[in-house]
Amino acid sequence: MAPLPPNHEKLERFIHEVLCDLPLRRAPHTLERRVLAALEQRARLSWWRQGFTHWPRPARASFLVSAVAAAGLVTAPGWLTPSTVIAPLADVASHLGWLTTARDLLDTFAATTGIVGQAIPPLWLYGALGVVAALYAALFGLGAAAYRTLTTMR
Amino acid sequence: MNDDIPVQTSSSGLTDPVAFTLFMRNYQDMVFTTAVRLTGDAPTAEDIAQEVFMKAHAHFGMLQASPAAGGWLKTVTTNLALNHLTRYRNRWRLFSELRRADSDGGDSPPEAEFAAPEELFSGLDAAERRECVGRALAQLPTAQRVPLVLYHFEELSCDEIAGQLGVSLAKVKTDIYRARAALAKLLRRGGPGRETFPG
Repeated sequence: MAPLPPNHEKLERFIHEVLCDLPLRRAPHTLERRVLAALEQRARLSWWRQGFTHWPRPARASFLVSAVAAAGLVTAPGWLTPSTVIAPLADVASHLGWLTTARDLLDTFAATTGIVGQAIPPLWLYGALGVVAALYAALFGLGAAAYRTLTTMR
Repeated sequence: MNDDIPVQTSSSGLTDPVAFTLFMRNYQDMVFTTAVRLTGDAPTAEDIAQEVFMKAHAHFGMLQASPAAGGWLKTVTTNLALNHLTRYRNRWRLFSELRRADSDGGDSPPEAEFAAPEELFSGLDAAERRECVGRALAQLPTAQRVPLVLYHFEELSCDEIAGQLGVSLAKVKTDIYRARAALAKLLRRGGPGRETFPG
C-alpha cells in the first residue's frame, strides 16, 4: 500500500485527535425504562408469539413434522407416479358419476380456451404485453417524480 | 449514567432485574454513543440501543461476569446500526442517491482545508469545542460518516470496513478522506486560522 502524502497524514492525525477528544453521549433517561418495559412485555407473550427458539420442545418437534408433511404434499405431484394415484382415483370415480361429468366439463373448457388462445394473433399478444410494460414504466416514473418533488419541497 | 433513577426491582421477566439494570447503566452510554455516531440520529440510536439490550438480556448469563461484555455490546451495536443503515439505504437508494450522484464530483479526493486545532478552536472552551465537533460529525452524509466512525472510533482497518460495508477498499479510503476533509471544512467555519492541504 502506498504511504499517504504528508498532508493527508496531518489531516488524519488532526481529525483523530479531534474525534478522540469527544466524550460519550449520555443515553436518554427513557432508554432504561423502554428496555425493561419491552422485556416485561416479551415475558408476558405467549410462547407461540415468541421466537422459534423460545418454543417448548414438543411444539418445535410438531412444527417440524408438520412442515415436512406440508412440503411432502406440495411436492407430491413430482414424486407420485400415475399408477399410484390415478388408478385408485379412477376406481373411486367409477362409483361417482358426477365426477365424470365434471371431468368432461373441464376438458371442454380447456379445449375451448386452447382454441381461443390459438385464434388470437401473436402480434396482439405482443402488443398487449408492450402496453402493460409501458403502463408499468409510466407509473414507476410518476412515483419517482412525485418522490423527488416531495423530498425537494421538504 | 442515570443514577438519579432508582434501580428497578420488579420481576419484569428477568432472572435478576437489579443486576441487569446495573449492567445496563454501566454500558448504556457507550452503546447509545456508538449507535448515534453511526446513524447520526438520536431516536434511531435509542431504538438500536434498546434492541442491543434486549439481545444482551438473552445472553445475560454469559455476559454478566464477562470482561468482554463491552466488546460484545459494541460489536452488536455496530452490526445493528449498519443493518439499519443498509436497510434504509436499499429502500431509498434508487431515488435518493440518483440526485446525490449528480453532485458527488469525481473520484479524486478533494482539496482539504483546515486550521490547526489551537487556532480553530480559539475562544471556545472544551465543552463548546466538543459540541461543535459532535454537531459537525452529525452533519456529514451517511456514506462518509460511517467509514469515518468505524475507522477512528471503532478502530477498524480499511479492509475490515470494506468487508463490513460490502464496498471496495478504494471506496472506503476515498470516503474516509472525503469525510475528514468535509469535517475539517465544517469545523473551519467557526475558526479564524486556516491551512490549505491539497489532495
